[in-house]
Amino acid sequence: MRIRRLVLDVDKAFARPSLLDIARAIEPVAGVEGFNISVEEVDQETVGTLINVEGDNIDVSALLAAIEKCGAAVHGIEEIVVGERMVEYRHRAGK
Amino acid sequence: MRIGPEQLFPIVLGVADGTCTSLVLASQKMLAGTFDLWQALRIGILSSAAGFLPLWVAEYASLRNELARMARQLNQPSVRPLLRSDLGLSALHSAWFTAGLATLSSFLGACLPLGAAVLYPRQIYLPLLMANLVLMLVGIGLGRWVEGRRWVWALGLMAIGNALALLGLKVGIS
Repeated sequence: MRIRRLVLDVDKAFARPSLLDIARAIEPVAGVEGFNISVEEVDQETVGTLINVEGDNIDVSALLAAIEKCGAAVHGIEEIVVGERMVEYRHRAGK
Repeated sequence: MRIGPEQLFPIVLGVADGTCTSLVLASQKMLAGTFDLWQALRIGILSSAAGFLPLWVAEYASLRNELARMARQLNQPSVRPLLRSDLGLSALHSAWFTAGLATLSSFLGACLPLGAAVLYPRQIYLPLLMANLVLMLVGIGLGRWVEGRRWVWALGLMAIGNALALLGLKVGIS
């Protein structure tokens, strides 16, 4: 399966790992060409982030393992784009 | 690992512990003026090495507890995934580093009064004076770090050191 984009819901503890630690973990994963890590919410002890990863033939299991290994917790995959072309999300008609 | 402000605790703990323990163990011999290098080495090594494993256990337990709290906050079913992560490895390294630093500091803290006792055996109050000097510097440093009254910290530590020296003199371990 040729995975082109993944949007991940990732939580981390407030102090560690830092966003740079997570970035360092993601960068060498096979198939990753670029990514964005955005802080979505800050709780008392945790930070919720959304990680947008783009590339060609992204190794999902290696990506998830790399994020978990640096000490962050992957809560779910929010979006996945697969195939020859990038297909953007479209709102349902009438919404 | 680099030495930063967070390593002040093991350094202070080690220096104060080494100085005080050497006073407890050696004050009677120091005052008798019969103290040799071999005794100084034995006491220095013993006073510093005794604290290594307990400190490692305490430090690792504290860091592991922090990871367990982190795991709960992240809604993870157990702490094991975090223990297997880089954070778990970092906790292990940090515990070894902290315990090693405290042990080395303890040895250095013991060296000054014991060294004075070996080099100048006739100057029987010199080791106590050296120990007081070390504890005063540690107290001033601590007082500055916590933004408290430096001399209160210094005098407090010196009082503890002298009380322990008196205890060592009465008990007479060495």
